[in-house]
Amino acid sequence: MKKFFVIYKQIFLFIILTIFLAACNNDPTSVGSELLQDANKIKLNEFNTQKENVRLSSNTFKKKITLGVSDKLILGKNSYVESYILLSFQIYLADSLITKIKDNKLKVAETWMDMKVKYSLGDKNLPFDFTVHQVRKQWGSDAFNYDSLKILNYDANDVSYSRSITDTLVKFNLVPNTVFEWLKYSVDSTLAPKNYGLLFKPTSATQRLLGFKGYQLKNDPDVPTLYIVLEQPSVFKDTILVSPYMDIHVVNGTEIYSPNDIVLEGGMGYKGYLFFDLSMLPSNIIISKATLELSVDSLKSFDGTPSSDSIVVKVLKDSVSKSYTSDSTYYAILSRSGNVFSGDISWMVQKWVSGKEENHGLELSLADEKSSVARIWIYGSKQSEALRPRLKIYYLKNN
Amino acid sequence: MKKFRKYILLLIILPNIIFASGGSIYSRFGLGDFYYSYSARRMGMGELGIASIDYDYLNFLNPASWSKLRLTRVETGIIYNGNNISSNSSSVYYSQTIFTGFMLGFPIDHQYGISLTAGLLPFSNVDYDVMTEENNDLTGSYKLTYSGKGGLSKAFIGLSYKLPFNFAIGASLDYYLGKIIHKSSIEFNSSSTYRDGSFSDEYSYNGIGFTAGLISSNLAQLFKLNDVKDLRIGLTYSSNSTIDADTVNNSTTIIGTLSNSSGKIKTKLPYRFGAGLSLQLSDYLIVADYLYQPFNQLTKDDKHINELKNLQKLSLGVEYRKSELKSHSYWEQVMLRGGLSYEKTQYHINNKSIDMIAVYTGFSLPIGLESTIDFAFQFGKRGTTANNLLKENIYKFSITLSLGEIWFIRQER
Repeated sequence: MKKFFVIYKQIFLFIILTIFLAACNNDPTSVGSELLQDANKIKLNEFNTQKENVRLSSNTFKKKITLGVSDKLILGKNSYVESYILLSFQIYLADSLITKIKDNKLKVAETWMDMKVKYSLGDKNLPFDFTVHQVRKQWGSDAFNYDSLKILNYDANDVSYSRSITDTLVKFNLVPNTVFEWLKYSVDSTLAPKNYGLLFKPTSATQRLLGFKGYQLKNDPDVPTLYIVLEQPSVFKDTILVSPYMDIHVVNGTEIYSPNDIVLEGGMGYKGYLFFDLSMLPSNIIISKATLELSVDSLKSFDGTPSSDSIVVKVLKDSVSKSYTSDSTYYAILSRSGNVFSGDISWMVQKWVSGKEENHGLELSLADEKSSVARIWIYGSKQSEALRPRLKIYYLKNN
Repeated sequence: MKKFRKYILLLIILPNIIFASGGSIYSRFGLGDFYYSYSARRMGMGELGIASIDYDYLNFLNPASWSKLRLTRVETGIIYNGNNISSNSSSVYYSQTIFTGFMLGFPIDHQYGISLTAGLLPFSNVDYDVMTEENNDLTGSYKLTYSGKGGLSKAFIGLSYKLPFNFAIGASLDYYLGKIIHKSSIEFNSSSTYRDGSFSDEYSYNGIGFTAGLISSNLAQLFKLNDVKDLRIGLTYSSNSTIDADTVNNSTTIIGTLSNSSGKIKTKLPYRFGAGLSLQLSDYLIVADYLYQPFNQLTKDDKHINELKNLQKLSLGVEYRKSELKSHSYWEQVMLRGGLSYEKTQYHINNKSIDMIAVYTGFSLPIGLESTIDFAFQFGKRGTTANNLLKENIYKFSITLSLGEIWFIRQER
């Protein structure tokens, strides 16, 4: 018995060890995939709002925007908008210069401003001109708007002269005495009236707009610069450069009447509202791709350089108050290609179809709405099928 | 005892060895593959043994078999399951090692055959991982992966009782529990603008059933079979069970994993009936069994599963065990087993029933008073590559520790 068992045990253990040492597979393989019937597989389905006759609504609304934080300053006017600039300077002088000004030994020989053009809207052959006025009242960039401008106290006389306007640079001289007053005030506030800065107004003949770089926290050679040439006759001549420490541009425009189309306009805060009724989509789906496409009415649009080629899409919590959802810091961007803006809004659609967020529609605005005055006219929900906004959704469904 | 340390150590270590997990996609249908034996002792002789009445083994198929229990028993073990799966075009080897749970048996009254037995045992197993690559004009190529994991366990508590004329009956209250997760995912090309996604459906099961069994007295005397030491027939019946499943659907999306509870669904597990014969000839115990379960009655959320039909299993086994020990030789106490089975499994796919044929062998080494360490090996062939189906070579290896102890000795005054 013992002998028999020992042989039996050895054969048994040999078989077991052979099995244990057999190579195992870690990854899924295609063996058995033939048994998966099509009806049981994950399917990628298409849902196109254009084809599915989805209820759609759109309109244009206005929301206050704070231009004080804009990285551009826009000046000029056209058929639908006019824009003003306010600049304020704080001048710091060396002690030696302060003494000389106090002793009345210095004079401002010449003063001018260089403003590099960073944005333009309108044909460059169209007229552009402006006047510069000394402001006589305190202002701030936080909440300053066109209503504030209407009650702003400023001198009627134009303190600029010899204006030179090219495609890349706007240059003009300032009346030296105006700047000398500022210098005196910076030395001793009792020697001259307070310096509240300058107001730039487009002339009535102006038909285009130019933009310049706004105040930057760090030194930037592209921001508008004031050059002051100080002279002590037959002793020395020196030029000091001053950048604005506070600036804003103020925009005023005509009201837009668009019962259905979406008109996005920079500076004025015109935004679009867009709603797709997606209740036809099944539940428990995964959004693999959702592309929003908007067609531009190029005849009614006015775009600048650089172009307003991106639209920001945010999810609304309330279609009436136009308040945002709690995650409104996240947004989607639509990019322009030809006359179509398009972009992926998968995560927004996923939230709606999963019931994480109720669908109260989307807010559309120009990505550069604070630094442009472009008007982008988008065909709305009542337009023909080919032109109206459309949402192409590709979703995964487990069968 | 020293010489068995290595086996006990193997029992402890084996479940911790990381084997690549996986199995047949057949287990995708219904509740998966079912276990008929959790122990090496039964596996070695064809897995069933419904009419076998043992004093040193806890048979989970038939509660009536506990009526002869002599000592308090604890049984536990592991099963290594290797599966070489072939399709028409390729093959793959998967393996899996599972802990087979445990059973505890307490003899209460020898005269009346009352024993209390309880345990937690694996009942069914779902384990598959399949990938397919597809292509379409819109998205380009993409991979679809389908996997399933989990299974049901059975917790039970039961009693046996000896009827007049030495018939034994037994019954257990069964509680089915467990989780089965089916996952499917799609993965697009890395350059694709389409986002990947995955769905997983989690079913958390729980439900109650019962099992009853009967084993006859020794019929050899009745039929005056002098050469037969013991002849018994046994019957076992597990009731229909309605098993509730809390269902949670998870989907991996661009905004994270979303869970959606879709409520309870009911799975109706059909009854299981088994009949067996055991015959003791000298030192040989021969068992023959038949098991039937009408899986065409299984419904999930009131829907029948087309791929499931009725299960039938026939098995034949033999155990060699010296009944009269002439000496205290260790080798005289060793038990040897062999068996074979034919099974018409519950799977019926692509209009073809999936059948299985298997051979078994095993042995037990005594490690003390009515205590053994049992080994068994099964080699089975299941299915066919015809009709786009799969052929499996199944290798199962089981080790079970079966320990008997004298508990609860009454102090005589």
